[in-house]
Amino acid sequence: MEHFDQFEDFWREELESFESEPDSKEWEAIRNRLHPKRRVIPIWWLIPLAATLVGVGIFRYLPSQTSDADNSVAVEKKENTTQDKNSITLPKIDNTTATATKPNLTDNNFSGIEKQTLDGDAKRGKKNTYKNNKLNIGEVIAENLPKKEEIIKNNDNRQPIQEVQNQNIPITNSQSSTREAVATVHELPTILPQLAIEKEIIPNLEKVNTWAKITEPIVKKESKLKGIYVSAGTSMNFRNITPVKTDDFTMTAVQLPNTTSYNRLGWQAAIGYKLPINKHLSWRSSPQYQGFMAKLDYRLKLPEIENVETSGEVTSSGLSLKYEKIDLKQTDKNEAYIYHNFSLNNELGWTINSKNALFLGCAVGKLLGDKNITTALNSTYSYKLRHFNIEPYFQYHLKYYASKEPIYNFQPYAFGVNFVF
Amino acid sequence: MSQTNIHELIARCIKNDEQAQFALYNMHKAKLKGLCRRYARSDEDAEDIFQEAFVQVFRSLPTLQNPNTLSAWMRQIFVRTAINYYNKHLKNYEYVSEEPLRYESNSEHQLILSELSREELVRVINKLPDGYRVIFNMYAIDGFAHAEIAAQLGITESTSKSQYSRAKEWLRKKLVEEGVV
Repeated sequence: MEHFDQFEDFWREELESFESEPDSKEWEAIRNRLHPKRRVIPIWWLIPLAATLVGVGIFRYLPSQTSDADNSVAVEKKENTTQDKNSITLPKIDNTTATATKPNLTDNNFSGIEKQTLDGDAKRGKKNTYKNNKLNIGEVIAENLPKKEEIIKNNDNRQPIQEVQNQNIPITNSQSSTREAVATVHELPTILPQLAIEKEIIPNLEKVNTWAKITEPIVKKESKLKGIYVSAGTSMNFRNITPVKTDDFTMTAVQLPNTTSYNRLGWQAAIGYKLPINKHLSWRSSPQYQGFMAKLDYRLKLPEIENVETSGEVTSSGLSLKYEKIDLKQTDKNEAYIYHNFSLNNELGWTINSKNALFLGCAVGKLLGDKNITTALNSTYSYKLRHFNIEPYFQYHLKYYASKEPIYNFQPYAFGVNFVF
Repeated sequence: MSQTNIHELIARCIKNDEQAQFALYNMHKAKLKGLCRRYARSDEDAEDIFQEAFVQVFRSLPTLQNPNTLSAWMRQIFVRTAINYYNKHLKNYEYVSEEPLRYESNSEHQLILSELSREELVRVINKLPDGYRVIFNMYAIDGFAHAEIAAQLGITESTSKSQYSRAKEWLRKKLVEEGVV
């Protein structure tokens, strides 16, 4: 060390053993890097998720069982009604009968049958399902007609029932196939032997019910919770947190050096009220809890346009008060942040959608007090089930919602799924 | 702490034993934080270097060949981490002119500096430009030769010497500007 002179000796003597006590948080930061904690999903996140799944299960399967029972009753009642109230007397299939008693079926009588049957079903709210069943029953019977003719042929002293029908029941071309199906159902119990019904028809009817059960969920129906808007679901947000170190920072969706990103699985739940304003507008308002964000949301929705099968939807969170809290224990720079944000948010969006198809839309947002305007592209698929809509969604922000102090915080994208009952 | 205990402590640290790591940290934290304060531009940078270097120490412990040289080995890692932290800035000082510098009287400097506390001395060093500060710390305080500094920083030995001379000149001017002299 002969190269040292007095100057260097002085500095070395003074500062070589210079000590400084580090802050206790520095060990915490080192320890956290050496022993990264496993992220434990709090159980309270699982509770709404489980509740949602249970709810979906209940809504999915319970109505199907009820529907089966209703269908069976409908078919049964249909047969009884046509026999009892219209006093149709069809010939018994009996070898000893010399002449056939021709039923006096007039068009009026037949209309009565149809009207009564349809009214009854409409009251039960099963119009669509029943219509399907009627048509299928018609097909089933059509399949069995050859057997019916065979039976009639064996009864040589009677007029074939098909002939009787053609003579006495003037069915015009304008009458629907539904009517024909009902007429055939009406004849069914008396034409076919009981054995044939049990062995041939009932298995086919079971097939019909099974098919109806499969197709039933895609039949759009009014929600039983009329007026109440309930939404529950999960969501996942991607966030990129960047400590502000320099002024010439450039934001990008790609993770930057000295930043940390995290995906956060959250859940959202909302309950509100759907208020029909008039024929074309309805109002939906609900306080919403979305993981760590609370906001008041409302939307105006135009009804679906008949035949075109498209609808427009304007959504707005209006001047809602949004509170957001970000609590980061550690970033790559070992800095802990707790970030609270109250903001008045205004977002307007427009989506064009079609039934059971992809929504495409855009949204423009403005945080009061922030010069940035957020623009985003949305895509949502709304699949209409029997009692609720399932809506997976994806949103990509073109210009991120960002807040410069104390951290950059933006959401390049968000995706999740909603269940709207 | 006895040599046996040091060996055991290092072995436990290698096994990622948190208690052992905390013990080793407590043994060296004050001196090493002091080193970081000298090499850093600010307290915030010193914290970054300190944490990063300690993480590197614990992760590199399996490569430590002689546990008896633990202190010196840790200081090397800390100095290397500090150099890397400012590496971008250090490169900018690589091509300085080699014009001869005017040397001030060392006795004059010493007279001034002896009036300052250690904290104040560190604050003066913190104000040195990054390249000057690192070379000044390495040569004047930590005892590296210019050849070693040149090798570590990837510069020539003459550059290291001229940078050190400029650092001393810069210190003198700064002390005059701030009214210390």
